[in-house]
Amino acid sequence: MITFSCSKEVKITFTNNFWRDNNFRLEPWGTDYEPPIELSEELSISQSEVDPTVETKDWTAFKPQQQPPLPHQLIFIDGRRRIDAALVGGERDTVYYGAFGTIAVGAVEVNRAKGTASYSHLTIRRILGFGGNQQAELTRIPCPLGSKAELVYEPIEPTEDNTPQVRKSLIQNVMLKAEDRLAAELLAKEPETLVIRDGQLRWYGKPDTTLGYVKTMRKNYLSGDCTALLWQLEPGERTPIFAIQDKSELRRRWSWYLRSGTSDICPKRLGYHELQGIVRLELYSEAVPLEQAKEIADQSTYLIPQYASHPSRDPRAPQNLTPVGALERELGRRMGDRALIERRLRSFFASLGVMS
Amino acid sequence: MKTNIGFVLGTLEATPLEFWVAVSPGHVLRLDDVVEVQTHRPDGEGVVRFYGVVDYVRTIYEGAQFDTDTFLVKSGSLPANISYAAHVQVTRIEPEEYLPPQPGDTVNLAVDEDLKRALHFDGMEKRIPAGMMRNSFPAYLNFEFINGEKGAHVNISGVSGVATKTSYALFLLHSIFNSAALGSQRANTKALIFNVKGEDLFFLDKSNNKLRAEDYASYKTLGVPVEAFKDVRFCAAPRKGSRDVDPHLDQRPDNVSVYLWSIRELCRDRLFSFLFAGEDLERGNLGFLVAGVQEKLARLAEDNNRADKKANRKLGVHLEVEPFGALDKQKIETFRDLLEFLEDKLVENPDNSWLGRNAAATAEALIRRLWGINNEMGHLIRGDLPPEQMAKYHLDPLSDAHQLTVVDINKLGGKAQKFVVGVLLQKLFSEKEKRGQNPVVFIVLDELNKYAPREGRSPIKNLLVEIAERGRSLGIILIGAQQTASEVERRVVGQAAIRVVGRLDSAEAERPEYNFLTGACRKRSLLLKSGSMFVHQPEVPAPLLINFPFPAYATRQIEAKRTEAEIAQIEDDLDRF
Repeated sequence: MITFSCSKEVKITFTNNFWRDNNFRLEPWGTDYEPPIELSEELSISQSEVDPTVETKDWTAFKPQQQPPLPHQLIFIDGRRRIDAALVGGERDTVYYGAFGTIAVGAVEVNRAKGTASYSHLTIRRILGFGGNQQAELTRIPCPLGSKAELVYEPIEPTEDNTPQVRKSLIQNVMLKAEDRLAAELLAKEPETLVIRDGQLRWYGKPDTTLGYVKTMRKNYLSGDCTALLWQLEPGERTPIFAIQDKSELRRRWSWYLRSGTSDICPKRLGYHELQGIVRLELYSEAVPLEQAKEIADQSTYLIPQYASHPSRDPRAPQNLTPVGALERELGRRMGDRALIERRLRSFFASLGVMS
Repeated sequence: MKTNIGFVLGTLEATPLEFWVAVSPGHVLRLDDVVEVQTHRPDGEGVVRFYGVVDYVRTIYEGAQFDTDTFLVKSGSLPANISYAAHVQVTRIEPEEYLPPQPGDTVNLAVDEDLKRALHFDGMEKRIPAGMMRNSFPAYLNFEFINGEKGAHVNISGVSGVATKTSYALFLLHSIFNSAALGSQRANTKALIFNVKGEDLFFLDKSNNKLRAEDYASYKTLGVPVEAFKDVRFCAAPRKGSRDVDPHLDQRPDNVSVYLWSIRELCRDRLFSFLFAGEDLERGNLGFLVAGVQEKLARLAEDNNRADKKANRKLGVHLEVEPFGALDKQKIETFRDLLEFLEDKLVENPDNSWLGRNAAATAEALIRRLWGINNEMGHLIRGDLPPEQMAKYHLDPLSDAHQLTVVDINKLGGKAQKFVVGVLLQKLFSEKEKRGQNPVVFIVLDELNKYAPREGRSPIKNLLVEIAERGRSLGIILIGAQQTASEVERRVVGQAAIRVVGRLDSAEAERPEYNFLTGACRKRSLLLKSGSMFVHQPEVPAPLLINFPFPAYATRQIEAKRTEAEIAQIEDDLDRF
């Protein structure tokens, strides 16, 4: 009896040591999502030109000493896309790839003075596009049963690229452009408002003051000592601002890392990996002077943790912001039921078969 | 003009009998509101109209997953929609095609004609106002279900004090007496009310001085005049232990008559058995002996009547008998005399023609019980007054002079109360058997559980069951009330076509007697304020919540408006002083 318990104890100690020594941690986002930390070994240092000295040369974590004045109104923008049906077509030697897709973009307007959050500008589009410069045509999918609403798929500009991956990028690009337009529209209407856009800033349209919010780490823009700081950030602390000039992307951006979450949902408490909860924010340097960028960066150390989600509500906590999580759900709801739409598309094609 | 209030909800089942409504932002739909939905038949063959009553409403944050999301929504970090939905119990489908309404069909608030159609008021040829609904439209009862044409009787349940059972019964009477539904029989329709509590009903002929302006408005909406009851006769038992016959009442000095029964009437009309309460007759052979004695006394009274007629005398009020007792009395003039006479015949000098084949112990039991009620009953049964005076105290609820008779039994003991109610109903019953159905007579009787309890037998319970079952054809309409319908004989409650419920006790509300209330109504019956009742009638499938206006007649002394003559009298008195 005694020996048995002894051996068990030894075993437990051994296992614990393994986990301690190797620093393996749970991936909390759930397996359905792309993981928040996806740094492949070769690519860990980004090809971009990064200048970490634009704000300061002293790379120690810092948080503004006192809370800066915060904006009264925030607008969060996000979009969702879905391939309703993948298409393959063409004859003999030519094969075209295409897709029926649904995109949805919208905003959550948060009035901090009144303490209200509301959806606005929710738009849904159904689109049809092909690769290989194949033009699409407006297509109406009839409703076989019940409701009278038919599905109208608008054509989008084809791309030259013609691989199965084109389906995803076709639809993605339309969505990102729509997000861009919405951000520009809202900024024009309410210049005093901080517009936070979920995802990286792209290079469509004119640069504006939109704040990009990147919740996953694909590239590590920092190197050496600077990277070490990421591991030490406490919730609500940020790195100094650095400038990014991608080779492929023409726009120059200000960017900084920030640890989101609160003291009770920080990685140390939950046993997550130390890079969990790190988000990156960015601004177009052409549209935002460095001084203003500093101001916004300081505000973000208060605002982002304030709207961070809790692990009990959102599998992507704390990175996924609460208003954005709700917006995604609402957009998903308005996009319509996936299975139902897919079935309609199937019966549409089946009816084509009957006609020929 | 239709008010669009929302649409048929598509996320929960819509059925022909019940469906949900998604209420449009900026609109209100409350419990008891009445709605109308038009649905186009999917085959294009026409339109079906659904009418219904809202019996459940709720709001919820839509899209919120957790209870604590509420805090996030309130703090402004989580956007959420508010879903406001109402459940509708269908009351009518026109034409009667039981297809479900379609999700997204427009739902309108039913007003005016739609409202009448929804609640089947449009088909009521004779309708009487039952009170005001929450949407301030009048609710109606079909008088054909009260007066015996299609159904009869009203039953009211509710907790004492809060449920205002008697007040509602009076309002109904007021409403009936003043409605056109009575037609040519309006003048002859009568009512008999038993006053069981205080002296509250002794001011019904006076206007109420506490009426407010809004009460006048409700009376106007209901189409009921604001006036006191007319042609009311107030009756009360005589004061105990006084040779003079004056009414035993404290608050009302004038216009009250006394009711009494003569010894001879008691015997001749076979009212003797009403002296015994239910529990008395259940044990042993007492019932048999009582029946025998009652028959013997009746024959004795008939002999006396014949003798009086022969001698060309006015019919007496006492009984002339062979000498009995220690004093060899030959007249039975008081209740006590009657006791002594029976004691002589049954116990002291047993006479087999009286005793029959009953054991001595049974006879003793009967005498014991009679002695037990001597004190309670003695002043109600007299044989020592001149016949002319006695005639004044005769109580006939069908007399032409009065429309409403209020009989006080509040000051009487339990057995005497049962006797008075039993005897009056018995007389009314046999009278109506002779006269026929019309005009109808209403009887307002509270505490039915006392007179027709679920358990046991008694002459008065038999009579009430008889009234409940045959009253419809005889034109006797019982407006009965009780705190708990579960304690009243099933046949008495079950025969009532109109069921009314005020505030209920929570255990009572769960009883099967209240099955006509839907689940939500049962819960609400625990919260009803005084003046609000649920009314259920055969033609309307949902119970209606109604308020009835403040009485136009005084129900307390301080409410009674003084007439000018009275004011003048008081001023005179003051001057003299």
